[in-house]
This record gives sequence, C-alpha cells and structure tokens, in this order.
Amino acid sequence: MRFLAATLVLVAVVGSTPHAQKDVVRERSDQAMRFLAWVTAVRSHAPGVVDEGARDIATWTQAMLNDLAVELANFRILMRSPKASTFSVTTGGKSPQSIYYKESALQRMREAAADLVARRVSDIDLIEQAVVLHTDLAFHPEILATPVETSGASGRALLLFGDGAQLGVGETADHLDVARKLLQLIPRGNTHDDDIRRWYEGTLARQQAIQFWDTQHTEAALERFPEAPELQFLAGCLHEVLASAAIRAVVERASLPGRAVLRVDDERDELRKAAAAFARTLQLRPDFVEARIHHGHVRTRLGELEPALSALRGVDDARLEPELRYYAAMFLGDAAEAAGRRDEAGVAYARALGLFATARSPRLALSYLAWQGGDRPAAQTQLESLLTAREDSDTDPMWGYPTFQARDADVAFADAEARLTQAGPPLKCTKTWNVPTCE
Amino acid sequence: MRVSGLGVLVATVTMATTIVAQGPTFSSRREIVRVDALVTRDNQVVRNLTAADFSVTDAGVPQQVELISFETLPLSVQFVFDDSASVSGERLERLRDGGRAVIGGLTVRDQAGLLTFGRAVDRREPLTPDLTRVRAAIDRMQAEPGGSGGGTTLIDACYAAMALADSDVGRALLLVFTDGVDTSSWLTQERVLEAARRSNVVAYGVSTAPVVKGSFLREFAERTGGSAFHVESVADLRTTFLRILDEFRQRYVISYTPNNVPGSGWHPLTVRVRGRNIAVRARAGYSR
Repeated sequence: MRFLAATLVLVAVVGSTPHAQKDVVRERSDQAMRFLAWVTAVRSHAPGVVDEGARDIATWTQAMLNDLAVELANFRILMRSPKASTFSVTTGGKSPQSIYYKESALQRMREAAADLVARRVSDIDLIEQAVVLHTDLAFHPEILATPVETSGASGRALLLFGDGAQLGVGETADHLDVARKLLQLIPRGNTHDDDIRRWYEGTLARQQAIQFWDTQHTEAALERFPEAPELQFLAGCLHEVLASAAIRAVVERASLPGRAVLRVDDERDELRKAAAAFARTLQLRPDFVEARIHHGHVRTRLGELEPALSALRGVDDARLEPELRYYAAMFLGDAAEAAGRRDEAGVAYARALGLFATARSPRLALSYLAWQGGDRPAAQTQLESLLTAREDSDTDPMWGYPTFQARDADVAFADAEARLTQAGPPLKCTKTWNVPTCE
Repeated sequence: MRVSGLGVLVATVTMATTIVAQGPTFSSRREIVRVDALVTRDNQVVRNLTAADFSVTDAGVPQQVELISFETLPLSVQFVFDDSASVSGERLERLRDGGRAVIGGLTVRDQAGLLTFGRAVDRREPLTPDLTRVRAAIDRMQAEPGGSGGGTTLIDACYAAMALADSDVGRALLLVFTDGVDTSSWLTQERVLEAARRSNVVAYGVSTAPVVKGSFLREFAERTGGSAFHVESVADLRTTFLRILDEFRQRYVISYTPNNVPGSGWHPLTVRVRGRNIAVRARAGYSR
C-alpha cells in the first residue's frame, strides 16, 4: 500500500485487538531501553519536523507504542521518587502484576528522570512534548506511506480512495491515538485545558484539510469538549462530507479486512448528525455564520426547506469572505428552487455568479432553472457561456467546499503545537549504545 | 417550426394580422409530439413497419400517428466522455477507438460533437458536420491529472449534453461513457432525470461499472428511451458503440398532434405495435 498526499482516507475501526489485551511481560529491561530512546526522541523533537528520532519511532508497531504507557508511568514515579525500585501494572481489570528492570536499565531510567528534574522539565511538559512528536508523526506523509501493522493491533484500517473509487486499504500505527492517550494523563480543569482544546481544533482541521475522514478522533474531541463550538462545527462538517456522493460511492463498495468496519451511517443519518452538530454549534455561538451556511445546506438536503431558507436568507454580508457569500447564495438558490420559488432562486444564483464570474455551478443552476421553465434558448445560452470559458482560467469555489472550513488548518495546527511546547526549545541529543545523552 | 423545450415539437402558425394599430395580436399553435421508438422481436429489430402498425396513447387517449422516415432526418451524435484521472492508458485508447468507429459510421449529412467531464464539464468540439474536427478532438483527449482535485461530474455533463443537443431538426443521440459514478456534480440526479422528461434526445450509456437499476446512468438513458450497457472490458467499447449506433439508426420516429389530451403536466405515453412477442422501447412520456 502506498499513501499519496493527494489521496483521501476513511478510517475504519478494526475489531478486537489481541495485542492490546496481552499480559505485560514482567521483566521489562528491553522496554525500558526503548522507552529511553522515546524520551530522547521526544526531547529533541522540533515541532513540524520528522527528525532522526521521530523516524525511529515511526517504525514501531502499535504494540510497541502501547507499551510506552507502562514505562511512562514508572518513569513519572522515578521523577518524584528516584529511589523507587518496585513497580506494578494493572491490565484488563486483573490484579496488579509486579514488574522489574535489570539494575543497569533501572539506573538509566533514574538518570534520565533526574536529568529532567534538574532541567525543571515536569512530567506534564514531557507528555505535552510527546503529544507534539506523535501528532507530527500522525500527519507526516512519509510516515503515512509506511505501513507497519498488518495484525489489527492498531485498531483501525485506513481506506484510501479517490474520485469515488477505493484505491487501497491498510494499517498504520495510530499516533494520534497515542497522543490522545497521553493527553488523558494531564489533569482536567487546569490551565492546560485550553491548550488541549486547541490541539483538537488544530488536528481536526488538519485532518479535514488533507481529507482524512476520521470519526474516531472527532468523537474523542467532542467527548472531551462537548461545549466547544469550533469542534461541534468541524464534527458537523465531517458528517456532511460523509453524506456526500464522493464518500457514498466508496462506502457502498468498500472492501475491508475481515474485522474492520467503516463507521459511516447511511446518507440521511449522516445528514441528521451533521444538522444536529451545526444546530449545537449555533446554540453555543449564534453568530457563527459559516455554521449557519452549512446548517442551511444540510437542512435542504434533508428536505427541510423552510428552516433551510430561514437559515440562509440574510447571510450575504460584504464583510464575509467571498467564498462564504458564494456558498450562501448557491445554497439559498438551491433551497428556494426546491421550494418552488424560482424567482428567488434565480436572484440567488445570479448573485453567486456575480461573486465568481467563471464559476461553473451558478451557470449550470441558471441553465437548469431556464430549462425547467420551458425556456430552452436561455438554458442553452447559459451553457454556452459555461462551455466557452477558458479552461485554464475556470475555477469554482464549490469544488473546495468540502474542505473550505479547514482553510486555516496550518495556522491552527502550528498554534496548537506551539502551545504544547512552551517548556522550551528541543535539546540536542545523541545516542551511544542506545543510551541518550542530551546537551 | 420550433420545439417548445418540453419534448414537444411545436408548429407555430401566425393566424391573425394586426386588427388595429397598437392593438392586440392573436396567434394559435399546433403542437407535434415526436417519439423515437425501437421495435424488436426476440431481440431482433423489426423492420419495414408503417404508421398503421403503431398505436399510441397520450394520457390514455389514442392518437393518430404519422411515421417519419428516419432516412430523412440527419443524426446529431453528442459524445459525452469521462476524462477523469482513471480514464487513462488502454482505457483511454479504447475509448478513442470506439469514438472514431462511430464517426466512421456517420454520413455526410450527420453531425457530431464531444463533451468531456471530469471535475468539470468541457466542450472539446461543438456539434459540427465537420467530422474530421470531432475525430481530432477525440484524438486529443487526455485524462485529467490524478489527485485530490479530481471528480466526476456525470450528472452535470448529461444535463449539459441533453440541453445543448435538443433541437428541432434531426435526431439527437447522446453516447455517454463513464468508468465510475458521479462524485461532484452541482445538479442532482432527481433534477436531471426530471429535465430529461422535457427533451427529445435519446441517451445511451456505457460503463465499465455495473449499471444497476436505480443508478443514474441507467435511469437517465431509460428516461429518454435509450439503454445503458455494462462492458466487462474496455476492449468491448468499439463493438458496443457501433451496436448502439446501428440500433439508433433502426429506431422509428413517429409523430402525432395531441388530440383530446390534458393541458399541462406529465403525459404518459404508450407505444405499441401489433404482433406477437414484439417489444417497443420509447420514452415513457413527456411534460407540457
């Protein structure tokens, strides 16, 4: 399987994951040394860069990544209590299980923990920096192009598609899931909450910008921040896209590994979910004009024309970005046309054409209106204008509608990562016999 | 004579002259409905029928029909070809080959044109009697570059081709090829199928994807009285295209002036031919 920057991805959930439930090995010196390599990679990582340490982590399987949780817990103990020597872990509701490290490995862990304390780097700082590392790995095209899992341990399958057709399916380690689990270690209700909410905004926006449609990450965001209008809005956009023809064509013909299930409902249910999310967004932030436009469009697709018209009328505002005014006009025309208000539809489509003179969709819409009105010459005139446009100059904002909400994703993403790396710049670290030394 | 745009040929005869200067004028219109029908027995085309062999009802009311000799009507073949990223390599070459074969089967009285669709609908060559131009346009066809900006605007393309090809004269054939399904049209399936009720064109669809009942391509073709074909291999495109052209040439064109029928709205049509095991394929009705 090969991932390309221009392909689209749907995330499927894979059933039971045997690796995740496997008993923890009692003697964990190897895991401790791997954990220390991870600490080095985390501490030397610069946001947005996939450096040597990050490339090493990228080759790890999901089981290796899941293992980090055990050593991270013990490492945090060592940061607080350097003399600690007995550790235990509880998995799957079983009784606590004792684990131990060889003295040399334990000593390395102690030294690394002491080094962090001496540098006034808290365990929370380390966790936040680790979140940034795994976030960068989750989005790096080269990393996405390197499947390291075939066993279902990642708990998800990625379905690549383009233009309504499945192009491939495979598994990669889920670094975003690792990042989410790390964030769960940060206590709620403190000053970190805003940073974490911004992280969810930045990562969801970036996913949508690269057309990586992931219900799991969206649900996790809403579970943690149900009252965040920006997250509700992005959730609405996700479900709106999942109801689109481009996705339906793929979902209906998807061929997935045995235990994988695409968590995409039928078209109307996805539209209902989208409408509910947009409605919630507007409850939380009534002046969220972009959510109002999306809400109106989704209500039209659900056949709820009067609410759609109410949402879309009066949206036109010269202070809005031209694309948003265009979408509002086109969707108002669509709703009015469906409601039999041909004159209102014609005015709205003409307004959209006034905003983007070379756009295709308004001319098609105006042609169709004329055709249905029995005016064949007018219908043909609109088509002639459309088809004689210079091919290299044509553009239609409607083509970008599925991702327009993520237009500022790069800024949001960089901002989110910057907030999580306030503990300081990355260190220069080297490894000798897999033992890190940081300047 | 002009077509009203509702699948109805309208002969306009100005009856009145000016009565007084600046005064009102009066006119009357005589409508002619034209129906393109394929008649088969055991999947073989039935030839040499006359008007007397046909019985037509319009909204349940029997009509007096005339038969137009199709030899008197030139063909307008509008190619509507998918040029999205997946139509490349052998698929594209086979498509070109099929298009060229159809052009080779046209006469000097016929015309053709080429629309393509990927992310957008583009007219590569307008309908023209200069078939060498159309052949050259087919030769120049290229698949759109791959990438996330791709798309397939099959529904928009079918609407545009239908609206542009619909004319008073001749017989318009849309020959639609796609290797996928619509992913990015502005117009909806429901709207374009509704629009097809108001058109005189006959559409045939060919797809490498299954054309199951309910799929847009099949519904669109059948709504216009045509058919949709699934080809297992692009190697079959040439023979399928030629079969469509041959079938279209052997269709009968019948016409009548509606008599004692309701005014506006949908007019269901039935077209029958006397005889055993005879099947007639024609559009199901028209809108006024």
